[in-house]
Amino acid sequence: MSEIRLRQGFAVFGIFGGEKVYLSESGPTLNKGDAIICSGQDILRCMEFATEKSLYAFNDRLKRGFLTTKDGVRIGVAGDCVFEDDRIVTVKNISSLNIRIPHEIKDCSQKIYNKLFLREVFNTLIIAPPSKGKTTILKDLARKLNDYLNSSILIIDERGEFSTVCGENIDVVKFSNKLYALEYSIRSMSPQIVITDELQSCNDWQSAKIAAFSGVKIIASCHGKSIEDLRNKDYFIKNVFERYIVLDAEKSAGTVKGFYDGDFNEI
Amino acid sequence: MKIFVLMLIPLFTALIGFVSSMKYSDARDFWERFEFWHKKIKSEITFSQRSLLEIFNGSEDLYKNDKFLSVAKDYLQKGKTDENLNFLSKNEKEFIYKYFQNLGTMDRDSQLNYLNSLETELNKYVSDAGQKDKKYRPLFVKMGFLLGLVVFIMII
Repeated sequence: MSEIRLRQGFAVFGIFGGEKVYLSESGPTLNKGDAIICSGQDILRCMEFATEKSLYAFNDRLKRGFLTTKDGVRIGVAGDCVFEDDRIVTVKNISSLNIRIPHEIKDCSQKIYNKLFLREVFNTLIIAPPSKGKTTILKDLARKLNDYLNSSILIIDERGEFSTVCGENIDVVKFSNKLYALEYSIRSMSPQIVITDELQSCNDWQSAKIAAFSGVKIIASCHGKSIEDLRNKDYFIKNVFERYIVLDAEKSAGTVKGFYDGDFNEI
Repeated sequence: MKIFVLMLIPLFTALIGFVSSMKYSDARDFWERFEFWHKKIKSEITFSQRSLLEIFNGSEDLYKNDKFLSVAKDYLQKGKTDENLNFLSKNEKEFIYKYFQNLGTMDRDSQLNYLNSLETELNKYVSDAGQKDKKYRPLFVKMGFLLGLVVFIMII
């Protein structure tokens, strides 16, 4: 099960092995009629459980549309956004939850490691649509780099999804935006490799550029289906990454479609 | 010899008076702990933003036999408490239920506003419990003693 979706008033379903499966009281089912219908109370209880009945402690993340539990489970939320002076204060009347269950697939990045990191570490970007295994690969890659290289690794974990990754060479900065985390961590922690998830704004790309041009190697991920998708993004900056990995959007999560160099030639 | 045994009667009845008055001291202790934790929760929400369970679990060694702590953990985990709160009135129990019902269910600012809004009522319970304990505990002991004394005199 990679994710579970709760929408108030509708059947609860999950994604199991890439397929949509409804959740009934007796377990997963393909029959929509047997599915549990999600109520407002269910969503409230779910939120209380996820936040250990301490919503105030998660408010900063809630304002960005998600919260992450201690175990690294990311829960996307949708509801009424409350604004004050053009700034979001909180989200109330939450009506939908998307529970993303983190995966630990040992050696899922072996192919990537063998192809790109055996001799040296390149600035690398993994490109894939949502739920196609970017974070899982990055987590496994972080472990491999920790085990095989004697380099200091900094993980910028904006959403708390890397909570299960640790090692003697790994430092983790959680819940900070990438630009801030990178600026202070490069000075204070002297990383040799930076790993971060989902570059999706100008600031994120600026932070990647800072890392790459500071002599730090950066390994990151980005939403997209292809190299063309990436190049069409307004905030895309060329020459930051030396290698691109495109994951296959059609096949199962984590399948590599192609490796590309900094000039977008397939390698 | 008989006199000495009979003299124990007022002491015994005074002890009964003391035991009967313990509900007032239990209530005072409980409300004082409530007030302490209320301030601590507010401070934690404002500064550290730790979860409620982290706050309570991290304090277990420091505050052993703290009835409020057990009540709070019960409410957080089960939504009700199994603790014996017979020393509290119905209104007081309702206030505790109301306090925990919305604790942890709001964003930081709303949560602090909510806790502030309950402060007047909480202060009233703390002050009432203190006053009742001060008033009734010596009274119960004295009444017990006097009753024993009357019995003693009547027997003599």
